[in-house]
Amino acid sequence: MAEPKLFVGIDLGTTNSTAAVFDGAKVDAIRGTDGSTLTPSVVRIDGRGGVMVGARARRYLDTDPDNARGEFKRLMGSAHRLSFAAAKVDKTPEELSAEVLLSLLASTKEQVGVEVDQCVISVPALFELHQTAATGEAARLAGIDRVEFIQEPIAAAIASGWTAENDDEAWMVFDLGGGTFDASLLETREGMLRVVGHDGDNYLGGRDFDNALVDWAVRELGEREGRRLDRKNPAHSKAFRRLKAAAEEVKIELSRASSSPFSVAGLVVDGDELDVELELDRPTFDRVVAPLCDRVVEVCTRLLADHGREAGSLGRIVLVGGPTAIPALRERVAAALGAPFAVGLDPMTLVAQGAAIFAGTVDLSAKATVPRADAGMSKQGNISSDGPKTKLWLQHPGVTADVGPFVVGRALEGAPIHRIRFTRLDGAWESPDEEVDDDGTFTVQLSLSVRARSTFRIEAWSKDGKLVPVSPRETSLSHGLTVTDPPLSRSIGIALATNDVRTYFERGCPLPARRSFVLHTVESATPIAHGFALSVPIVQGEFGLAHLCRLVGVLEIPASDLRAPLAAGSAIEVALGLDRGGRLTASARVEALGQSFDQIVNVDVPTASLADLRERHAALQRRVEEAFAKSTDASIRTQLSRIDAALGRAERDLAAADGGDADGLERARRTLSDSDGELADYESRSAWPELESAALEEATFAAHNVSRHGSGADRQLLEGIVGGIKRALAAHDARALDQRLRAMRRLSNALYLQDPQNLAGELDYYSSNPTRTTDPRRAKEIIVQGRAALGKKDDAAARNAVVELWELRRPGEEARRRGHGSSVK
Amino acid sequence: MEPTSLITLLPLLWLLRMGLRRPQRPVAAQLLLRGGVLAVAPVTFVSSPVLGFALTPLWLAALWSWPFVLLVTRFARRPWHVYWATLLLWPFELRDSWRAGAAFMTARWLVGRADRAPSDLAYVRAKMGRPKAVEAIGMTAFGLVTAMDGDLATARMLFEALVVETTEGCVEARRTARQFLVLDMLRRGELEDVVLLAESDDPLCRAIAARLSGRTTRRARGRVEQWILGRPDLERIPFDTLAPSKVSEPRLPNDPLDRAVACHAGLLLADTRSARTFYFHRACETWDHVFDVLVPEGAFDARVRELGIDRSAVYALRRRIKADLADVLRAHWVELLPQRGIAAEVREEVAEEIVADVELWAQRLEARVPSTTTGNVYDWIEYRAMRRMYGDAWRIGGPETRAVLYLRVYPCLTNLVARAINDGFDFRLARAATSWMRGEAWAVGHERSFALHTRNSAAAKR
Amino acid sequence: MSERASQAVSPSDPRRNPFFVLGLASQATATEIEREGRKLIAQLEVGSKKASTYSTPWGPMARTVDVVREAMVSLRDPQTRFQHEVLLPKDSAVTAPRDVTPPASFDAFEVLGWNLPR
Repeated sequence: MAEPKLFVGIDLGTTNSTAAVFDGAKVDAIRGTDGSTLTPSVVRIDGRGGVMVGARARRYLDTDPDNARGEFKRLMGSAHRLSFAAAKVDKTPEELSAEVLLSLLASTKEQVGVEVDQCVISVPALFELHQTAATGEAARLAGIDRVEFIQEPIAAAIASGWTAENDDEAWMVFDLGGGTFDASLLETREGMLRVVGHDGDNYLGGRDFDNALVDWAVRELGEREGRRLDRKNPAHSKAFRRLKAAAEEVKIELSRASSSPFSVAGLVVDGDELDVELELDRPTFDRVVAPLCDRVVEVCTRLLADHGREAGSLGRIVLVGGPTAIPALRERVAAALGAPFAVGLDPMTLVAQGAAIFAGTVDLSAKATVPRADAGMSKQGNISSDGPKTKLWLQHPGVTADVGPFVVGRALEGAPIHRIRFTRLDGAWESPDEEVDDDGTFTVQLSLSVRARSTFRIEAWSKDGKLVPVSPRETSLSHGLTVTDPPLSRSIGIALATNDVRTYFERGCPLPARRSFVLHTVESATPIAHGFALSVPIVQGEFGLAHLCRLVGVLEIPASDLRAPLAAGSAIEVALGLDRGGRLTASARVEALGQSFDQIVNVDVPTASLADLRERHAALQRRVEEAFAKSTDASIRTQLSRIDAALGRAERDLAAADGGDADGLERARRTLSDSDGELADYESRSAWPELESAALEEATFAAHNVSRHGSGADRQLLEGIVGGIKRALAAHDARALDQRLRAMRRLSNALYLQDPQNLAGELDYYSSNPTRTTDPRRAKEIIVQGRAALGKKDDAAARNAVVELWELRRPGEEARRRGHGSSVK
Repeated sequence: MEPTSLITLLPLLWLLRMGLRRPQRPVAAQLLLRGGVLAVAPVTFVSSPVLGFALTPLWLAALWSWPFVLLVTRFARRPWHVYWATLLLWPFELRDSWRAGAAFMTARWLVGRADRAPSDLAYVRAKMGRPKAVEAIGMTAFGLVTAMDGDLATARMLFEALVVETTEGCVEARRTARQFLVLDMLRRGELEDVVLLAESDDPLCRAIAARLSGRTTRRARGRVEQWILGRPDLERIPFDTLAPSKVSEPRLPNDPLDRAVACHAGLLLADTRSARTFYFHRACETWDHVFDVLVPEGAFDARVRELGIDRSAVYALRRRIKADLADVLRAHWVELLPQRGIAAEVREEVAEEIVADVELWAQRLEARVPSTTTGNVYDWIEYRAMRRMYGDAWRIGGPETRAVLYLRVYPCLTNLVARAINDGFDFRLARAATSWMRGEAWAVGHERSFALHTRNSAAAKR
Repeated sequence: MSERASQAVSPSDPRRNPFFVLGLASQATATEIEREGRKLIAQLEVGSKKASTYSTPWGPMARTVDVVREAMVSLRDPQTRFQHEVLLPKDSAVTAPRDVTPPASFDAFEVLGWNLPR
């Protein structure tokens, strides 16, 4: 009599959280004490320190905003702490998520009677590493021993796919939640669900629809009553909150009705009481949310285009999240993508159901089944009249698309077994007798009933042919969809000292994964008491330049840990590993010392100040304007206008951040750094004609120098280099072009310096522009030396002086500083 | 003479010795000291035989320290025995700093011990001193300690710097360095270079070189030294096992694709020079045939269609094969012949990469500030590493690459040399770098820098 | 320039060809690959000794969960699968070409009085 294994999946959403349980055959959503499947992600702490979670706490969001907090999912992984005034405590978002998890687990225990030690938690697909790590921390705080993560779109797809009949289709999972928007492209082929790609916006959700409505209401108020409400003004924040609550209600109402009153009574603005009585009808609502719908549709079409698919080629669209009920949005999406919606599924609990099914696929049951020589276990065996049983440890997927999967197991305690057989309980199949190895392991291939759950009876015999009782006596597997390993959402690599990135895991690489490369140190390290000898920065991002990627962790080797001095250029083997949840481990091995290091300092989200961000914004705006002025191509202009629109959004967020919105600051920082990267990308690509003309100009200068001062060998060398430049230009190979240009520059500089007139000219130039060097004082000394050398007709010394001057502009060090101070190459 | 007055002479003589340290030690003073001791020694015997018997070893030690040092190292048990013994006895024999000399002798003694502890190595490290410029003896000590730590590659670079780049330095230090290099070459199986070290004053090196080339030799001095230091008899060493092995031509399949795959696998798994060279060239030839003849005829088309990918997969395969070949070329020595096709492309790419690396190293070398604890030992290591890469790039890329490289490297190194001359530290590195660059300038045909280097080497001579 | 390259297993090592790791022929279907892969991972987690090594024409190699996973991933992507198929040595009799005599069988350093760590 085997206890059925239960698999638990949890969806921690921005506005609402859900849990679901899967027993191998069907999935159920867990209902809380109030009978609802949704638990609002709100936590309230009262003056005595008592914690309240869920619908009850949500009621206090408006009336007692200082002590009730919601929507902390967006802040996961940042250093931001949320303060609760009455209880005088500061809580991190992880701690608040842990409270929500505890409430869900308590409901689960009540409903199915199982204490949950292991479960699967869903995270948004574009969650970055530190955010996933924070979710793991929240799970740990809630007492969950082992947690696996699954991306929300995959969970939604599994839940929808579970009841699907069609195969070989492409789907899109459209997940618009309270705070984030994720679009994923999935494919089922031969019973395997594969995620082809995903895209989305970490900062676009139902809340933005609410904000759009609030903006409209504020504009209406301004026109009708002459009242100016300003987001930036902290005195108006309470008013804004009330408006937002009303907007939410109206939005839900408008999904059903064609018009709805937008009314807030007793709104306090600048000391006056206001009654807001506005009427909102569908067309106006559609108009107000049209820009947001545009953004949503743009993301979807971009995703399709990135993967070479047409709009009409989708088989199905799965909708997840409450805001997908908005009719305007549905119409726009259906029109743009031309695919039917999957019906009959509850968009609010879909993700949790998928997470539970996924737990079944990876065999992560609620209670751990890792064998331990516990006293408790052997007690169980003695009670039964069958006598002591041989404990078996079985490994097989709970759900699989394979009709003939293998089950692998090992006999632990009890009488040794020699042969084993699995018989399907419906009598239609039985396995041949398989031999058990000397170490007790066995492998048996099973045959499952198609699209059903099959239970197998296990029988084992000892060497002399006697039947040996085993525990468990039965096991079941279900035939359905299998999920391939989840792909990585952003490339991860190591920043090098030359400001390049050595990519370890590309975007879309299936997790878990582990890779190692041999790098070389760029400076020597001595074992001294303080400081770090080597630092290996780990960055995340698609751009090839390290300073444009985001730092997610640093592997730092303290100088005091080194056994002996390490020369520059030593080989250091750096291994990075990513698990399914995107958690990062890193280790470095230095062969010369025979030592291994594996300490990572995880970097919190960098807190940029508002002033810095405004500067950056202004600089980016200028660059975009320049680029606009120079380009004439239509597609480039659309790309630039997209960047411009992003900058406009960032400006609005900066305005909100001024009023104390930490979220807005985060958003602005992200938008600005993405725009920076895109602009740099565009500039490097579109600058090709300029590069070409610049290269030819340099070639002319070099030819001039060679003809005046160069020998026959120099001339031949120059011809070779110019040929290489032409080839690189034809092949559009930026790196090769750069290399050859540098070679040519060296040659031409060497010859340029032969002429004392040129030397004098260089010295004059730097003496009149001392700020062009990094060390003007030293530059002055050098100039004096150089002039003295020229006076004595000592060309060599003068040349050295000029070269030293040039060296004071050291771009090498510049590159290294930008590359997060990396010590490896 | 009174014995007591002779005893008072002792400290005076000692002080005289201390005062006459290198580099200003004039020959006349040497002759005076040695002549004086030779005169005084028999006189002590005459005045008091007992005292004379006791003092004579000390007099002799003052003249020729090495027999005593050899005896001490034979019978000493702890590193500090060796250190203090050599410190007291060595100053005139070694021409470099005497602390470094004592550290070097201790390290040399430690290398032969099977029972050394990490604390012994730490002791030697601590005793190596903090010189402004590490000279030959200190560098050898450093290299020995590095080798005992297990990092043979860095030790090799240091010893090469000593033997190949410089022509002066303590005889014993150069001898040790040469021994290490010979043994390291034997260990790595690079026997062709061993013969180059045959012309050495180390009896061990000479004997090894002679054995390898099939000759035998007997030198009396070597015998005595062997006995004193306890070295084994060279006759017992199985030198014949070192004979370079020939790859028995393996049977390769006839089908061109199978042949290419077999050669590729053989290349990636080969671990000797001859095997690698053998497979490299065959792999390149057969892959050229596959991609230039078989692929246009449609060799892979069926499989590509079945898998649902397009023709670009075949070119991706070619890129991967090129990357494998480039990895092998970068990491190991392969004898290169003029070739077309994939081999030529790989050579060009690898040469370019190494050229970029060499430039980076040269720039870094120029910008280095010597550390206070280890002096400029790392400068030497990096310089040797840069020279090695330079040689690799030149060998792989051909003479054109040499010209390009030289032009990139010489400005940085010239600045390094200028700084070394002006700041007055490490003339040795400056001299070595200048003479090498002079040779390169001549070979490449760059007359202006040749003149520059000639002037610099004159300035660097002291 | 690495001197211990022969000790490390590089990613292009022919012994690491996924077909060797999973013990399949080059015509294996996707289902077979998944099935074998999961079976091997389960066996390794259970601690079976049989599964902990796999055979290549050059001798047995160690098999771990990471290695199996990487092999499954490279065979799922048709591009990399094509490359591995082409580079899989076919005729085992000829795929063991090696040098006849291995290099120096005496330890030069130790015999001549230098005691250096391995």
